[in-house]
Amino acid sequence: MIRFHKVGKSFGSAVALRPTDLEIPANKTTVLIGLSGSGKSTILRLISGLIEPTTGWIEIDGEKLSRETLPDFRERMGYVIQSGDLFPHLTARRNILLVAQKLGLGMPEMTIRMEELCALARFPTDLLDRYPVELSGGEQRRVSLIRALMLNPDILLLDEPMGALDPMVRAGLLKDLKALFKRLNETVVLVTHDLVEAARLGDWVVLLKEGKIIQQGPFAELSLHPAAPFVSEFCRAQLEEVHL
Amino acid sequence: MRIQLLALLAVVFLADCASAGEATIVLGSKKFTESYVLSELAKRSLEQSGFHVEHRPGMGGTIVLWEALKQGSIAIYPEYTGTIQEEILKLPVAPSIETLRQELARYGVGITKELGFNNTYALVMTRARAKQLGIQKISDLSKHPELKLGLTHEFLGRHDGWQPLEKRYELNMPNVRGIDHTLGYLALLSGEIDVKDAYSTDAKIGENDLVVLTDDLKFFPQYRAVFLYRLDVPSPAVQALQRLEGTLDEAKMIQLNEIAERTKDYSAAADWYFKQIGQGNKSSNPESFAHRLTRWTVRHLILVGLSLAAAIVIGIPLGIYASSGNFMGEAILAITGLIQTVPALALLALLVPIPFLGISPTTAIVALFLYGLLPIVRNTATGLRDIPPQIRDAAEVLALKPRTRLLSIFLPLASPSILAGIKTSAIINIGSATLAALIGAGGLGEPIISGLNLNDNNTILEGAIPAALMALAAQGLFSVLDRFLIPRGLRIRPT
Repeated sequence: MIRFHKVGKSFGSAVALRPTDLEIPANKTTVLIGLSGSGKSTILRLISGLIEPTTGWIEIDGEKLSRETLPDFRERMGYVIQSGDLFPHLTARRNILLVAQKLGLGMPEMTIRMEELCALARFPTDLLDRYPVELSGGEQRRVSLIRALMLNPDILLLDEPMGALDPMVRAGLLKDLKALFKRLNETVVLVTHDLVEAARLGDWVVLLKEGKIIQQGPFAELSLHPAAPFVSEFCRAQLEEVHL
Repeated sequence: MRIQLLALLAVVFLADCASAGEATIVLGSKKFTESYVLSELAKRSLEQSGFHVEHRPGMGGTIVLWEALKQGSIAIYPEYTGTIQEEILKLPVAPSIETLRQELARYGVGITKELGFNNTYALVMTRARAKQLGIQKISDLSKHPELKLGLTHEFLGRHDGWQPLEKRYELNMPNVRGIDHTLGYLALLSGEIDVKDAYSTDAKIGENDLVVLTDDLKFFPQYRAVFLYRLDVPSPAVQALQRLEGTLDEAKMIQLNEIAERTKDYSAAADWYFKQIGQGNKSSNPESFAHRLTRWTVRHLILVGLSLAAAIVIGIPLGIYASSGNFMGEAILAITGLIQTVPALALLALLVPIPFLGISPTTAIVALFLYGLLPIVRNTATGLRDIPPQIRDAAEVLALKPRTRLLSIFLPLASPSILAGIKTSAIINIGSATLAALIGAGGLGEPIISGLNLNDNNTILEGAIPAALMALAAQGLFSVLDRFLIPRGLRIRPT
């Protein structure tokens, strides 16, 4: 379980996240949803240690996240960042195996694991020796996901993993992700601005606005019992977009 | 592979330095015809006494030659009494040769007797212009403040140069600009300037029928030619120099200068001199063009190769540090940028007084290294800073050590920019290395400076064409290297 204790984050005078208490349940998929600037990505970056809280502290499985404990946590985390997070000078294979190689793990086992994950993420192994520019957007996301899962992390963090994809590719990936999360049974934290993704993937949905949590709970509860006018407005706006 | 190349360059360089060491007397000369000719005469005389002599022609100015002489990079060079008094010893009144000898001995330097002629500074005009305005004396200039003066940079800065002269003659000439000595003659003849400074034995004065303005207030000191030599040169060498004492009057010197400029060959002037005194032997070892070209090119490659290697080894780490964008990083970028704005000759002059450097190829390499830093440091820093934030984030969260991140991800991604910086640096250095000849470090600048001085385009091209070809070759070589050093994933286009 990931627990936020009055965690706040400011960049100069700009407040990205107001002091927030939050519990992210273990072995479930939590979706952080909101408009841009709502603080959802800030939460993900705080968990991954890319940024440090201005106030408060974060606890993972009862242990405080700090500069000292961060390297250990990182080995237990997988992170998929929006688009363009693959290293362009390395093939898909080397992107996936880089960390295992540098940590000195056995390559035969790692290659087997890579092939298993390729099957799981439905990435054709004959594309492994291509460079990122030679892969489609959807294929790149799958490679990024496989790379994040290589060290068998306890926590998987995804920041708008389907952000820059066309709708057809996105539908396919969404379906595969749902199956994958269920199979992995890990703590997944996913950031999106898209209600469909939240509805399909999230066991637990956290809605944010202007650096503050407005409402959280299972998706059905949010849509049926909106706690604030913003929640219903947000849901309606997105559904209208679907009808248009 | 690269290390082997560096090692090879270093060996060639050291061998090159060593070959100029034992039993060879090194002569220097300044960057004008008469100095070349006098050193050529000294060379011939020393060779007659059985010495092996190397002449480093066209070094950049009094300060450079004096430092070179004191440090022992050269053993002998021709100088003028007025310059010794004003520029070197900074004495208030004109002393006798004996006084100069005593003063110079404190620096371990000896002086011959006068060679004969007085080559003082003079102001010259074309005969037509002088006649038109009725100007005969320097004091006549006060009636014509509109005249345009083109003066050498050395004359503008000297203690016995333009500023004190202007004060002494109470002149007020607003149109004064600095111009190279040889180019100044062309400007004078084409009417772009009206007055320039000259040496009273310049071949150009007779050749172009120029008028020397009378120094009616006796402002210019006497500039009697002598040889300065290190007191540790063997006495037969000093005797060889002494054989030239008192043998050259003004007319003879003008004639020697004129022969050198007409034939574009300093040794022809020496031939004529020794024929006059009945010793018509030619220089013992005339060097073939192919041999000269090889010598210049090899030296040029050494200067560029070693300075570039140093700039890469130091520049990339500095660039990595500067990419962090902190105060020190910005300071590094600012300083390397500042070095770039220092003119090459000024940078050389600043480095020469530093111990261990002096007048040597090392100084030229250090100067070229400093010039080569900016493109490499800046391109390394920019290449690293331009890595997209999502790549940085991905590298950071992937549990990689900072060193691995840098070597396996950031540097390969910045490699196109870094290599472009190295390419720029190499090409700049191939051009700048021509200035190494000003401190006697050789290279393709030797014929360029010599040709500029003789106003001889052929000689200039002997250095300029190989230098241009070398720059093109470097461009080609680096384009090939790009294929090997830039990762394939960064070179292919999206399918």
